[in-house]
Amino acid sequence: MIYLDHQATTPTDPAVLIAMTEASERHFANPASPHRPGVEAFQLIEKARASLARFLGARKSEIYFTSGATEANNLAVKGIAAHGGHVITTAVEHKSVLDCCTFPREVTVLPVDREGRVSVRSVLDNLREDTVLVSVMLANNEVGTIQPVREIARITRQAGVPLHCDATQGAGYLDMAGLGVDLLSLSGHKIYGPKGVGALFVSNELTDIGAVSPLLHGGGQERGLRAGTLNTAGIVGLGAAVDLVVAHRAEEARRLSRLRGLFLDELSVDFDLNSGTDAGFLPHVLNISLRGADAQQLLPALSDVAVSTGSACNSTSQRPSHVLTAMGLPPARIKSSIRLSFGRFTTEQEAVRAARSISAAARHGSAELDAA
Amino acid sequence: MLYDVIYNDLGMACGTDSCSIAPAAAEPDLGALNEIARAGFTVTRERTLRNRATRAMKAWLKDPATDRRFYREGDEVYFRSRSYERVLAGVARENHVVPRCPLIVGEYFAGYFSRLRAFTACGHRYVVDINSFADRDKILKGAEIYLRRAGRDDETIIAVFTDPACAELVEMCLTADDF
Repeated sequence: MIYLDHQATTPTDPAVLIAMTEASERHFANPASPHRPGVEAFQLIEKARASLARFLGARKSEIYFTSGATEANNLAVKGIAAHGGHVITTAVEHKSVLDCCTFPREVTVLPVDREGRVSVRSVLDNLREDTVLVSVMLANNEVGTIQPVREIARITRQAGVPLHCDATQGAGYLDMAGLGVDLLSLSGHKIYGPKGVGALFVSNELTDIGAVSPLLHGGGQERGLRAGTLNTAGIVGLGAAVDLVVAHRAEEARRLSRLRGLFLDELSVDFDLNSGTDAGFLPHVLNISLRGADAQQLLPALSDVAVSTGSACNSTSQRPSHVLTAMGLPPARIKSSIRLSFGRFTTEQEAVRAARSISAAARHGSAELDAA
Repeated sequence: MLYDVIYNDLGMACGTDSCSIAPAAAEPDLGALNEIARAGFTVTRERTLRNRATRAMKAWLKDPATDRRFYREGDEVYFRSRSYERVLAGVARENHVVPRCPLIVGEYFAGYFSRLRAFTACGHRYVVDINSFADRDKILKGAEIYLRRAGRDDETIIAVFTDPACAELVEMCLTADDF
């Protein structure tokens, strides 16, 4: 099976697994405990925290470990807007942001252009006296569009409104330092780390004034912002994953971009490109509509390639992709869209084979549709 | 290189959530301390550090605006930590002030770095602080109090935690940038 669904999740890197296995076997003690095994576990967690801090250009004290990006997004949005207020977000955010923005707060959902990008101007135009948070993702999970987060941060900072960025998809490919955001979410399993662990960056400026309310209460871990015994092995894995990203990011981005080009060259059916291939998009992502094909019917025919239609988290909803809809794509094009993403262990041969398999399946599917 | 031993003549113990004072320790074993001094170590008594912390806290109580990192809740004075949910810095009742472990630890880091600054040719100053595993929280809280209030770019605390036989060591490096 050729795995081309790296936006849904990535395989755990072997080096991450080694680090996690050792942490699980040898450092199982509660990191809050005041004995050697506890202090050793605590030390590992602090090393991982330091890795994340370097990765984000932040201070160690600004990193809070969570169970993943969904929890981090919930903590960011609900934690800041705990007492209501107006929230601004975009129509292409992940559901974990969109769903917790809407109730019981007043929310402005900004439209995006044909590339899935929000305009900086629209953020500025929609800021209000009672706006308590702006939440804009770094890069989209379906089409890979990179949002102008740095530019938006300049505006929100000037307006004194906290900016949250869901960086789950962009973290493995983009330079994260100096984004200028106040809160940032990321997940382990999107960057070849483990599932069930993520982190939220919260600037000290916010936490110093108690601007973020916790969702989970208990033992006071993570400066009281996220109670619960820390997941040492998962956090160690996240730290190792981040270190690997930093070591190989630029070179890997170029390689993945080449694989994507190779795949497109080899694709021998008519298609429309829903995502871009320039610097405004993630280098490993491809969203295409196969003309005349029904993506839902195509998937079962693809026995040797793992791809998605729309967001994997949302793929059971039987609704057309909210991202492609927001980009203004017609229903037929959405229906024929598939999402592929190349990864760390994808080879050139696999990219070529996948293109041939998808082309064959699409031709077969179109013929069946025509016959029907 | 300077060597120092802290003599615990207070008996204070610190947990993550609470702070307790054991009955006053017996008078120091001067023979043992003299032996340490002959070996080239200075000896710092925790009582001395506590008295310094008491003076600093009294000064703060007179004018809390001088340092917003501390705040008062009833009789208790807390440090706004960037690592822990709550850090009890001391208790103040009328004119009676009792500083807690983190503030006292912060005082000894202040004292050590102050001594090291006498070596003006030194490019970077390190304090390697060896403690028992059980003291982890009070040391880290105290290090944060020092580093955030007075720490400089050229100062690093290496907190080492160990067992009584010093057979197992766990070290942590702390700078003002961490907070």
